[in-house]
Amino acid sequence: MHELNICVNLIRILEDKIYNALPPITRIKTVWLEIGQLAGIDLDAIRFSFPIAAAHSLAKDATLEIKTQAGSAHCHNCDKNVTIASLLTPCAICGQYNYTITLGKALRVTKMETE
Amino acid sequence: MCGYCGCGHEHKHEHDHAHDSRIMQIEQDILGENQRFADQNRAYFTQHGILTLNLMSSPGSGKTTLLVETIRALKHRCAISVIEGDQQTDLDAQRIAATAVPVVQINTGKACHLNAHRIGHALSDLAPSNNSVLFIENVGNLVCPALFDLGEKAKIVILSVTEGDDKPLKYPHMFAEASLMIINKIDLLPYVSFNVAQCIEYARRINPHIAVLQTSATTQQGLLPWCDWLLKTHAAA
Ligand SMILES: Nc1nc2c(ncn2[C@@H]2O[C@H](COP(=O)(O)OP(=O)(O)OP(=O)(O)O)[C@@H](O)[C@H]2O)c(=O)[nH]1
Ligand SMILES: [Mg+2]
Ligand SMILES: [Zn+2]
Repeated sequence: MHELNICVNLIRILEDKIYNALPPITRIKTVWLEIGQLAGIDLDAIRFSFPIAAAHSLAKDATLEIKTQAGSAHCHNCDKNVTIASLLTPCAICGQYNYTITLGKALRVTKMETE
Repeated sequence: MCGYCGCGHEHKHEHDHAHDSRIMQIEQDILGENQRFADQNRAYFTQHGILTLNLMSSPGSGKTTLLVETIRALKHRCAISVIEGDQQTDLDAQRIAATAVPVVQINTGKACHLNAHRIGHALSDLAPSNNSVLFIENVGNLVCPALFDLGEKAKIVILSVTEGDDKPLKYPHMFAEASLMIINKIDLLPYVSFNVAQCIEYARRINPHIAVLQTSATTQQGLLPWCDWLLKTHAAA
């Protein structure tokens, strides 16, 4: 389950950010993520793993806010941009899979709220 | 402290003044650290003319067996080395070592995939020679390894016929990332219901550009086209 590993990386990024912050930060209250629909990440697994990864950090009681990024692709047959809900979604116009993904692979932490 | 990356000991000390605002903007890729190590590995491979291939599959599809046969067939034509990834044991590294090519085993413990940082360390132990071929056998898992760039030239997914022809649809991320799909254990085709054409059609739905080869690592059927693919890719690298 790579989601746990991803949450461990996330906590490391947050701790790096607050290291030496002035005045010192005592707790991370909220963490905002942006995760693409095509990133291969299971959001439930992220929500499950986050508290485990955060257990011994200042984020241990933090709320996780996840914004999803819709998948989008450029179809080479139709020369149009189409919405792709998963890697199994064909082009909505021609029904084929001859496209290049342009959006939906984000796996980002965008901000956090601290005190 | 580790010479390769200074891991764990050098944090960037960013003085964000939290009293100005309780919201801290971050905008950072969560796998950005892995990506930086992968880029570092890739630069190393390019600089030394090393063709690196990341072999991925579910457990037991025949990665090690195919590697052993490939090494036997090719080791007199090009220098080969191997990095073996498993959660536990060095059994696979022992099998590779028996072919007398350099090999390093990485045990990932609980992690279900290799990461670029561990590969960087393995490289300093292995010291693959210039213009060689480096195989990385990833941990047996059709999901997680697909997300972690190691700096390889290409990802290869191995699917054995006993696993079923529907796997490209069930694990699309792996097949989307791979440049080549090897259908292995084709000697068992008479005994299982595995539709090769259907499997290839599924894989190309996910990835129109994926190349496909069919092998049996035990009977050596299809080994020649695979070796040709390797030598051609090596020459082009
Ligand atoms: N019939 C048949 N058996 C094969 C073939 N390739 C591998 N095997 C058998 O499949 C089993 C697993 O092979 P390995 O090479 O260890 O598979 P692996 O993918 O390296 O396994 P892990 O590293 O544990 O994920 C062994 O018993 C092999 O002998 C093949 O082409 N045909
Ligand atoms: Mg193996
Ligand atoms: Zn189309």
